[in-house]
Amino acid sequence: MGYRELMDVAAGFAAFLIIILIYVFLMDARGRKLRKELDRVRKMAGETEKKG
Amino acid sequence: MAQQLKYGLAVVSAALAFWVVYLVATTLPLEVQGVGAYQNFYFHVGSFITAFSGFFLGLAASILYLKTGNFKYDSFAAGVNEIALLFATTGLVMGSIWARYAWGVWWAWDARLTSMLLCWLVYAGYLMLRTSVEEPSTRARLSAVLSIFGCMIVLFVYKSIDWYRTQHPSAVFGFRGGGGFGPGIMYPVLLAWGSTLCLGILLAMVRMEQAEMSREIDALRRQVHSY
Amino acid sequence: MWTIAAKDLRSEFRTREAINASLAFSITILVLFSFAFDPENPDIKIDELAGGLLWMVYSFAAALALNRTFARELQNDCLDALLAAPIPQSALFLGKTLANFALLLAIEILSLAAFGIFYHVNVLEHLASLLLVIVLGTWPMAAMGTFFSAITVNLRLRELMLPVMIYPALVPALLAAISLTGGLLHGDPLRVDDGALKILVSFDIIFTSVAVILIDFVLVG
Repeated sequence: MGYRELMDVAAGFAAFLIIILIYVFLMDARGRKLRKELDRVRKMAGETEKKG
Repeated sequence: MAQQLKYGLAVVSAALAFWVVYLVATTLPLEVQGVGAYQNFYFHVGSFITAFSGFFLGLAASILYLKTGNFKYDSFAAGVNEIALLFATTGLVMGSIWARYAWGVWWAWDARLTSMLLCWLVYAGYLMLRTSVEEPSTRARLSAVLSIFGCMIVLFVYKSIDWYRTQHPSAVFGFRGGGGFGPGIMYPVLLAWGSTLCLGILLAMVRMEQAEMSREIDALRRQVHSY
Repeated sequence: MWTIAAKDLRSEFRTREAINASLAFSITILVLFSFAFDPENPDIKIDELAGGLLWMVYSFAAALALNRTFARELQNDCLDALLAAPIPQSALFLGKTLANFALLLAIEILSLAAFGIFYHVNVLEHLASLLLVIVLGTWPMAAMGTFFSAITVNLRLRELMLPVMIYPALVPALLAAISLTGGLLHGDPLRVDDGALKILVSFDIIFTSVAVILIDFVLVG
């Protein structure tokens, strides 16, 4: 396998991994945000129910 | 249980991926049908097959949603379509890198490339539609309609390729019955497909949980506001 | 269905706002195209580009005109009234489509004339076939445009979402229409067994039926 082929194959795999990793990172960030928001809203709902 | 399933999927996906990389490094031919640098091909095709499996599952879930009105199907369609779009992206980017090597250009306005890009645009529009509708049931209804419509468009575009020239190597799964690949090539393609599929299922599960979570947030907010 | 179409066309005739704006817009684009390449340069074969240019103008003008299909019913809650009326949604959809179809045809024929004058292209040579292609290519624009404007009517960013969704959906039809129009303006007569013509006709039939089936889920009262 020559140098160019090697570079090409490496670039392809690297691109695949980078895209997946970026997506996973974004999804993780969104998941954290959602979980935080869910806790906040649950607490809020609990409080209003007590007062209710 | 769901957590263990996720770990299992991750392990299987990684194992299959390493298997493909090992085969690529040791036994597989450098050229197929006179086209060089074929090592990327396996994940390129695997990505696309996973993407199309996802789009069809999304279509099925959308039809079921319109039939039943069950929000589970909406979350499922949202997760599956987003992950399918992710794998369509990796497939396109890997194909583009390969094209730079094989054709000397990053992109060619070939029929199959064009239709894949259109498919990508249709589903990017689907995700944009999802973010721009606030009301959950309207969002579910409209995006289900768009998912069904998008699938039809993609099928039509794919079918109309037959009338135009193509310089892309022939399809692995074509409407004209099979591509020109021997079993030695099909086998790692299937492995790569398995790997991307496991990863895809894993990601789609996480995405689905997020969709359910955001719906719960929405419901709770409504409840709080109604007091 | 005809009532809806007639109503829309009548209100358009009273104000003539969509037709004036779209026509001015398409002529502006025609002028802008003359800067993209030099029409006086003999090396540029204008009749080979003509089909593409013409359909670019048409699709831009269509997106502009079709945005308002359902949006204008939002004032005074007319859309809710239309949905509550005892007619099937598909009739509402087809009526709106017919009205848009007539509107777009009027814009297109006028800008076709402007195109012929500005770019020295002989549009009269195969006028009948050309009109047939324009009719076949405009129908999906009207139908898809009406369908997607029904989807986007209640969105934030309505004006931005419509073009994003409509152009990918129209590509097969536009591609076929461009290749047919290019051939006709180049001087080749229309052949019945042309692949592009088959694509265009089957696109029209298939996607109009799909839109009619799915519209029940889009327009819900």
